[in-house]
This record gives sequence, structure tokens and C-alpha cells, in this order.
Amino acid sequence: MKHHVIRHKLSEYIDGSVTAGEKAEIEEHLQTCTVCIDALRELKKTVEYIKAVDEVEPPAWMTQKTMAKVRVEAAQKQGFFHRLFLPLHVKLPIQAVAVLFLAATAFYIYRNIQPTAKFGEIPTEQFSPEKKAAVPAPRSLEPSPAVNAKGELSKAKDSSLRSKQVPQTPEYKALDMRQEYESPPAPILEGKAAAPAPAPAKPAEQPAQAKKEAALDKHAAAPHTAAPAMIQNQAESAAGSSQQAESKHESLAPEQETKGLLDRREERSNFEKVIIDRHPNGKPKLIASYKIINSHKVQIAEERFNKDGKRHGIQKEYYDSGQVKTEAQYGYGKLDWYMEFYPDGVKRIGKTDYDWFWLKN
Amino acid sequence: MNNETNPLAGLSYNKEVTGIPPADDDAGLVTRSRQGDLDAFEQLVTKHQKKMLNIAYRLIGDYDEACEVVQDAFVSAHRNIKTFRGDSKFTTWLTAITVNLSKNRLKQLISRQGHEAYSLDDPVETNDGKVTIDPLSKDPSVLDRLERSDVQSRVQNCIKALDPAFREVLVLRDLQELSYEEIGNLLKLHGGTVKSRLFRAREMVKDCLKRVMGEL
Repeated sequence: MKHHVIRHKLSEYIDGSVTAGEKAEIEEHLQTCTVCIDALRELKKTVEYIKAVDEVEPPAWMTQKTMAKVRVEAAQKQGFFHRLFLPLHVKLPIQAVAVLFLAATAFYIYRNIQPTAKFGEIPTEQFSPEKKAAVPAPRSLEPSPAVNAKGELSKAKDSSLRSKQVPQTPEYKALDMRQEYESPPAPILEGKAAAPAPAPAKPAEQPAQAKKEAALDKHAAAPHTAAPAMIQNQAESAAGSSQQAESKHESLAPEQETKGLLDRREERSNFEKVIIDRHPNGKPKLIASYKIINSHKVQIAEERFNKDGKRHGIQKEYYDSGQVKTEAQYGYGKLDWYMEFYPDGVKRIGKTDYDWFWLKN
Repeated sequence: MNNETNPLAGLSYNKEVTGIPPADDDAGLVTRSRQGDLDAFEQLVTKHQKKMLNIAYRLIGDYDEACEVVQDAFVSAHRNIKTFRGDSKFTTWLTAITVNLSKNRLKQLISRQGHEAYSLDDPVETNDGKVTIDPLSKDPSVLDRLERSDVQSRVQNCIKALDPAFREVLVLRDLQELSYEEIGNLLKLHGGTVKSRLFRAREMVKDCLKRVMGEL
């Protein structure tokens, strides 16, 4: 190594940071180079001076002051952390419980309020026994010979009749909408109308249709004993054209029928059936069933028939409380869907995509 | 313009060049401190504050400023202790923080002094025209003051007179007795640069001492 290189290496030499080879070269050079010897001596002396410098002592308050700063910052950090994150272990369960509670409450309200809301829309009329007594025997509900003779009614007459007689409640609006579904057809009548609404669920009722028809025919001829004023007015205005009104029908419960069916028939035994509208050929188009519930005349069912007597449209049943119990939608005699309403909720059976839309209108 | 650097930025203090994590006497206290134990951290403060103060003092040259810097260094260390992976000694990590904060403080002080000197020395505009203000101080020059100081003060002043880049290497090597590798890691310098700067720093201090003390 040359002199100036060794001169620069002296600092490392003092620290013992040179390699063994470098050390040997440096020491060999120092044997002869007085400049480097002086430089090495001064450098060693300088380092000694530097290392001999006394250390300063920290002030007595330093630890305290430092820790005070640390604690302040830790508290701030913790406060911020607490605000944003730490409360999660407390907040999260509370929020979860709150959400569940809200969801359960909403579900409960939904299931309970809906039938009630529907009940509010049910067309009812105060039923007065006195009024009922004052009303003469429901001749309007008896078959009209004129119509029978003609066998046909004008459509215009029918519609005006209906508009007068049928209260324009949301339910009836819905009914109007349903007319869009109607299409022509082939008659049957009261027998079908008397069929229990939840037909698919009770296939055993289907074979009973023939018997029912026979029974209904009997009852159709019987005088209507409890026709409400509204129905009477309607019957009077339609006196010339109404062919027939059915007030009651009693089911003939075959022994083989289940108890459920018996119950259902028993419920229907008090129905008051009124033909609201007819097809031009005289076949009933719209038949409403009424029942007195808690001194209210409540529409129990609406049934629609095509001109061939096949039923389509909606049918409803109610609890004694007035709440809707069952609803069914028929499409030409075939049950499209069927719903049962329980006091604590709704159970739906059947199929359809247009199930609720008309109820909302 | 903010020319300060993050005391933790760009440092490789988490790695030792050897790749072998050194045994750290502070590991237990550090672990407890990371878990939020302030008592443990206080023990670390008590243990290391003197060393950090000396580093800061030798780098800055002002005792009060050094005290402030050391406090800030411990606060910063506590704030970031969860990022300390333990790849290096805690004291090395803490030294790195202190050195960086000291350098930042020194820049601030130099900037402040430079600004003040400029504003006082420059001619001032008055209604009567430019007036040159008298020199700020009639204190003796640095050399004069060094002559009146004892040896330690002279050495300290010679160290203080060094450029910060040389001063920090000299302080870390000759006062704190860190290895070249540790200094290189702390200051992000190559080994050759550390050696070169140390040589030049020692030479400058030697020349300074020769001037103020005569022969060594």
C-alpha cells in the first residue's frame, strides 16, 4: 500500500478494523514513515481526548417528564382507539341484539297487521235485525220468471245494476281488476259456488259436488229469510232481470267426510248467497256470500262464474272475529291458489305470481 | 419547506448485518411495553435516557435541546414500539430514533440561526435610506472561546464544530462505541463511507485540538 492509503487507514487501524494483511502492511510502513508515526500518535491522542469527554447526566425530572408525555399520548391513543374500535366487543353484541329485536318486531307486526288491514277493507254493512224483519220476503231473490223466459239480460243493464248494487270498496275495485282475467266459458252454478274454497287441500270435497248441487237446488227455491237491505234493494232493482238468488245452502255431510270438512260445511251453512251479476244468458256471473258476524254483515266470499257456469275468481272465508280466514283464487273451476290466515300470521299454500297485487289495490 | 425526516423512516435498524438477531437484555421490558405496560416502558426510559441524552447532546451541542429531543425520542419509541420486530437490539432502534430526531432538531436550529443572522446583518431599509446594523455580538471568536475552555470543553466544541454528517459518525463510534456495521445501519451508510467519514472527522477534531491546545 502506498503512503497516503496507509495514512487513511490509520483511523481503522486504531479501531482494529483492518484485516490481518492490512495490519501487517501498516505496521511495516510505520517502521519507516515518521509522518505516519506522528499522524498515528496524534490520532490516538485525539480519540483518547474524545473518549475522555465526560458524559452528561440527564436532569432529575427527565424520566418523569418523558413518562408524562408518553402517558398523555397513550391516553389520547387509547381514547381514540376506544371510540373507534375497542367498544366493538360491547357495541357489537348490543347492535346485533337490537337488529334481531327490530327484525323480530317487524316480522311480528307484518304478520299480525296484514290480516287486520285486510279486514279493514272488507265491505260491511250494519245489520239491523229490525230492518231485516221489516223487509218483506226476499222475492227479489226468487227466480225471475221473466228472465227465465228470456234467458238473457243486456250487458249494459247488468253493469249498471252492478255499479249500483256493489259498494265501490277497495275489495270491489280489486274485483273489477280481476275481470280482466275472465274469459268466456260454460255454465254451472250454485253447486260450484258452494264448494269449499280450499279445494286442492281437500280433494275429498270434489266428489261431493253432485250431492251439493242437489241440495242447493232445493234451497234455491226456499224463501230468503235474512236478506239485508242492500241485497234487497239490489234484488228489487234487478227484479225484472234477476233470475234467482240463493240465500242459504246446507251441506249434506257424507259420513265419510272428514271432521275438517264437516266443520267447513257447518261454517258455510249460515252463508247468505246473493247473485250480484249475471251473464247475458242469465247464468250468474258474480255471487256474493254474506254472513252475520258480531252483528255485522260481512261478505264472506265472492265467486265468479263464466257463462257456462264454471267458477273462477276469488273466494274468501272469515273467522267469527271478522278476520280473513281463507282466500282462494279460482281459474275456471280450478283453484289457482289458496291461502289460510291465522291470527298470528299467514300461511300460504298454492301458486301464483299475482297473489297479492289485487289486494293492494 | 419541511426538510425534517421521519425518525423511523428509511432506517434499517431492524436488521443486523450479520443476520443473527443479537441477544437483547431489554427483550422482556420491550414485550411488556408492547402490551401496554407503561411501568416496563418507564424502566426502559430510566435505563437508556442517559445514553440517548449524550448522543443527542454531542450531536446537537445544546443540553436543553438534547433533553427535549430525548423525550421526543422516547415518546416516538413508545408510539411505534409495536412496529419494533426485535431484529435488532432495542437500544440500537432507540439510538436510531434519537439520532434522526437530533439531526432534525439541528437542522431547525441551523435554519433559525441562519435566518436570524441574515436578517440582522443585512442592511435595513429606513426612511433615511439603507442603514447597516452593527455586528450582532462582540463576543470572542470560536477559537478565542476555545482557548479559555478546559480540555473537555475544547474537545466538545471541536466536535460541535464538525459538520453534522461527520459529527454523528464520530459520536456514534468514539462516544457510543458502536461498530462500523451498526453505524452504517443506523445512518444508512456503506461501511466504506463510515470509515472514510470517521477518518475525516477524527482528523478535523485533531486539527481543531491542535489549534486550540497547541501540540497534542
